[in-house]
Amino acid sequence: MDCLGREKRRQNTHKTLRGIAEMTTSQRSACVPVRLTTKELLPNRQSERLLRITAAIADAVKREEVFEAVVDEVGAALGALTAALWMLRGETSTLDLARAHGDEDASRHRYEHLSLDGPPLPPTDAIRRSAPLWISSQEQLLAEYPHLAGTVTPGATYRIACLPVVTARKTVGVLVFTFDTTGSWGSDDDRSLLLLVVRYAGQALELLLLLEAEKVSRANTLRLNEMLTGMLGHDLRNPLAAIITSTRLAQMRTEDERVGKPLSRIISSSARMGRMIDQLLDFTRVRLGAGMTLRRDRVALTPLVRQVMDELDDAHPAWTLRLEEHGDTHGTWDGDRLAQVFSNLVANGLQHGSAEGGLTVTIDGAAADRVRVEVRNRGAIPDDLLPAIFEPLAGRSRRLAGSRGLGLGLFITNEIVRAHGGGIVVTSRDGDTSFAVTLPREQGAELR
Amino acid sequence: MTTLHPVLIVDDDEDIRESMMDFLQDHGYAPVGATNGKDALEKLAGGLREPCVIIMDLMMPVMDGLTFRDEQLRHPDLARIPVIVVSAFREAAAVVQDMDCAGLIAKPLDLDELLRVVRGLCSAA
Repeated sequence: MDCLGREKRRQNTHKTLRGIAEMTTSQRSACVPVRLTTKELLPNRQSERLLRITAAIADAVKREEVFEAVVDEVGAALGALTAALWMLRGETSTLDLARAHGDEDASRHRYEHLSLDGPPLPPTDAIRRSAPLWISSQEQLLAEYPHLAGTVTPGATYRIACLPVVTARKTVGVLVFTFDTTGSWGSDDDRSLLLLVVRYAGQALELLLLLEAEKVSRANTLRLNEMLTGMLGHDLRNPLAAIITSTRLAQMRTEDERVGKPLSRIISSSARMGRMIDQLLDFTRVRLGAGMTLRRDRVALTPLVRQVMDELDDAHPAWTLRLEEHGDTHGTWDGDRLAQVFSNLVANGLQHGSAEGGLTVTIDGAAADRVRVEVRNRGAIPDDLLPAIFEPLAGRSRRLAGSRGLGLGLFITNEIVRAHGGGIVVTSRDGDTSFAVTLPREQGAELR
Repeated sequence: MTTLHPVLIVDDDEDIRESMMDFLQDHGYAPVGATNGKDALEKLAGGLREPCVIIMDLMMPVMDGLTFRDEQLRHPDLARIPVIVVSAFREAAAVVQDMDCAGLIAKPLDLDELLRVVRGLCSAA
């Protein structure tokens, strides 16, 4: 959450304080029967405590922070010996200990999970009754819960408050505080303060639960969309394959150039569509966390890059493509995926660069543990695009001249190189652009 | 009179199946189509002359390519027929690895490659 958001929450907190009396009298579980003014309800010391509590809660953003504020900060502000929060697990009857402060580890472990259907306990009873439960002494505790006799330190002195945390819609948990015995539950002020605090904690927890539910819902929707995209991409391949196969067949059956040319266009456009579908499927795999699947084998990089360049050279007669290599260019890589990488990078240079300077690919196999391949051409990448060049759809918004793809090519290129444990460095200055791919020769090798 | 080599093409996509059949017919083969693995097994058991190659998709309803291959390998008479997998499934290579197939061709099909593989297998038959 940004600073502005926090400041707004602080302001709301102070408004809340001004409306404390009304809130208290209107709340469902409050036991203050008459409308009181803020001044009457809150002596200075209590007001200070509330300010401290509300500020801590207002500052909490993450789940752990909210729990810490609701338990630790509230407990400390109230002068509690111990404080603990149990949250109901979804729609079940199980309570999970969300946070505890001041308890011994053994005690925390014993009460980590409570069941509303299990033996009666003060926290579960408070939830079952949907009402606060006040216990003034160990004697009262053991009188009402005799089965706890073996679990308490005999003769210890404390008071216990078990307060159901009720949001606008339902009970979501229970806050339990223990105090020393210097006070009593006889004072309405004491109880009102605790009920007010628990109400405010409930609001913070409700907001947290809403935000978490929204986050889960958003993530599910996104995942569903991406799965649908993946399925659609896969299913589009079959009709596309039928189009290409049938067109190729028609091409073979005719020698009429007037028919042959449009058939060629159908094939080249279909092939382009096929590449887009491949990119979409790769993108979906990466987005769904499946990553790039590699089929590693012994690969000689020079013939692989040469073949890629030869294929592109035919379609770009105005360009001069040069391949330079030195050293050992072998490694254990996925040859098909690397062909995709260099095809993307060279095609990218041909699309966006200037033919005058040509395009040079240099394979440097001098190092023992890695091979570096640089694709260099004349042409400049805009400064503002450079830092995000490997982001999906990076160049899409400006529709760079000559761009005919989905805007996923460089993203996928980078993902393939990363899956190999390598990296790409892109530089563009003085009218020269270079993409330098570094690949560790072996699987599992780390680049330094 | 020259006897044409029979080729069994198993694909649930009618357009792809028929275009492959047309293509192979143009090149001197006698293609027979099947819509899924079960249909292919029934055709093989029903008196179809033994094909020199089975060209098969992986993902099909009723009986997929993997199950078909398992069934085929259980029948000594059928087990020797080589199978080429044609698939639009990107990770097909990993699947085909365990199927002991004669080859894998990705969709969209490279017809020249298909013809080369079929010629190689059928001339050896």
